[in-house]
Amino acid sequence: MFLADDDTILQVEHVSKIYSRSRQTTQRRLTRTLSRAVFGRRFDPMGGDLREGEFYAVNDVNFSLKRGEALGIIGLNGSGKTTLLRMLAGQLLPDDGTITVVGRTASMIDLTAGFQVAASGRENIFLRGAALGRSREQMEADFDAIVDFAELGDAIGAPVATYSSGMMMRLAFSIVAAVAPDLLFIDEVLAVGDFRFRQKCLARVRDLRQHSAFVMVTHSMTDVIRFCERTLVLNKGVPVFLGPSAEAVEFFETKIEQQPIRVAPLSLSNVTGPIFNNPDAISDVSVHWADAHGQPTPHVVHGEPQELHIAFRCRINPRNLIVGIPVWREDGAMATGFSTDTRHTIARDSEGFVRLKLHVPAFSFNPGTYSAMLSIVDGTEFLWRNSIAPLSVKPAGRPTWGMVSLDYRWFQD
Amino acid sequence: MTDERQARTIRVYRADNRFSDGAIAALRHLLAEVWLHRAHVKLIFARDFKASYRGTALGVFWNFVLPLLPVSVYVFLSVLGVFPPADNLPRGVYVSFNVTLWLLFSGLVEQPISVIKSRNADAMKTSMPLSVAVASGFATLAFETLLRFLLVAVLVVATQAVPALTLPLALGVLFLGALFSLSVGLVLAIANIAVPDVQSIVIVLMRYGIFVSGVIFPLSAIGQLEWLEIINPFAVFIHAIRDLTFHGSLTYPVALAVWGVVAIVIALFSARIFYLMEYRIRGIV
Repeated sequence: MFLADDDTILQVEHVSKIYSRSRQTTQRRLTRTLSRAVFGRRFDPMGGDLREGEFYAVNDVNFSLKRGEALGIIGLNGSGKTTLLRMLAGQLLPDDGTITVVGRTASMIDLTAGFQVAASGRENIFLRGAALGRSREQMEADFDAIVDFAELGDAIGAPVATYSSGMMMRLAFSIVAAVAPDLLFIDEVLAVGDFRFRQKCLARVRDLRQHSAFVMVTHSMTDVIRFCERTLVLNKGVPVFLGPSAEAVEFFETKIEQQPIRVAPLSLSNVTGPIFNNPDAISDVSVHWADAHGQPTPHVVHGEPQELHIAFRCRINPRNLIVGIPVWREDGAMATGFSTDTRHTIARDSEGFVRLKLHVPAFSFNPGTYSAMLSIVDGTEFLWRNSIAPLSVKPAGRPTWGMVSLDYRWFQD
Repeated sequence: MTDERQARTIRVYRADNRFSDGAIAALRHLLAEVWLHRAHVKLIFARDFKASYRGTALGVFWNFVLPLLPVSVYVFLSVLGVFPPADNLPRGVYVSFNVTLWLLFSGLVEQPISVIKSRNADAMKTSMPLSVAVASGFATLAFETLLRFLLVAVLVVATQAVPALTLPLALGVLFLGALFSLSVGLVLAIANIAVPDVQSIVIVLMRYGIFVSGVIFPLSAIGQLEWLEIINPFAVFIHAIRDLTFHGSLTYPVALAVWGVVAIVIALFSARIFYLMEYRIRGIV
């Protein structure tokens, strides 16, 4: 192996990992490797050789890390961050490429894995220490510091099964943090315990940076900017950006995080409620989203004007006809509602036809897919209720947070 | 490994990792791995030992009584005359000696399969080598075997059966039998991840195996299966260990020589298979 230079502590070259959604495919691949091992044949490289049901969990990742450096890895759930970290930590072998690691490593990937819940906190300190390759003498030397840091006090003698999840995480973090590695792999574990303990963990990680390099997977953009000089952005296993953390976060928030996600309509059905249809009361219903020029469209650019065109025939003589449009976000949270109630009297033509146009001057919901229902009621009686085709809000090119972006300006004295 | 040596260590992870290593290198690496994590093996044994009696009224008493139970049942039946006398040995000695060996050998075959199946995911998350998980599981088996041999010794003294001078050689054959069993167990444990039926097949074979390995009664008692004395490796090792312990000469020296060589070859083969596949089965549950 060739390292880029003497200071390089981690080198990742063209690393890929193939996963399968099918157990049979995984077993077939394993059987093939096993048969090669049994018959003493050479290893069969599998890069690029995807079978049915297989996909690249990580695809062609390259980077290197020097002593004292910190690299962040960000991406959506399922983008391959933890798989990449497990390969760096030597927990999984890559299917292609080479990882070169220099010196002692420790990982905070699954902190409570390997804990024996029937054993006491004290026993678990030695068990986990032994699993990390530390002798009993070394762990005894660090014992008091670990217990102090974990703030467990007398509870250290009680079985871990009696601990709260926060106590267990504190103990687990303290044990791994006591090992002073050359290279530390951290997977979204800085959200340990309560706020005060989290600050303590962050301070400990900062201390570790004095002599350790680390690779950190996180969903916290604040942490990645605060701790890492460079950040790798993964999207569906593919590295799409590697550079200064602030730029990586901006790239992630504008190009990756705001990509609309297709959501199965069924997942919203429990939230949006039942469909109701009374053709004797309401018929000839037509409803669609439209752009500012009235042209039908299934999407809108964030902040741009948007319209909803509605037409139907009311075959009864209603006392108080109301049209309502509840809108839900893709995760089922109700985003807003539009209603004609009290503000608009709905007029019908001589044949009972109603034509309405809802105009939204600036559609300020953040990028994503939104589902809506058209409800037509007479007072409190439902006459008609059905879904409207989903509306996809596309990013306008600037970062957004939360569900909605308001129009705002900054002033300075 | 000292801190200084660890700090200088360069590790390379590639898809073809370990494939170029031979059997001797694999064996050396596995032994070094277990030695490096010996503190963990010791702690797991202590934990399992305590866990087996935690909360019971009679406490550690159970750790000494329960391992003797399977042996004592067969001894009880043989003393009642359920099984015929065999090999010029008191019935109790014959059965307790054989059952102790059988439980050791079958444990060495079956334990790696169940340990790797249950600890595979955990081993990946903790970076703990699977070889260490397997070794941890054997601490209890070793303790139980020791207890059973103590019971055998008591029966030998009680029945005034006289051991032969070749007794030390029996230890060598015991080692070969254990090596054979462990090697088979390791290969089957890996195969079980690829083909999960393996564990059930092994359980069925081992349950029947005790009756076709000359453990409870000699194979000569079931005339048409006597040929298993030289074909069944467990029967060969158990018979040879009994011969060297009590009679001073081997009944089937050629069969023992053949199976001894096979044991060494399989040990090297299984060490390499286990070494190559250990990281490749991780996370497959």
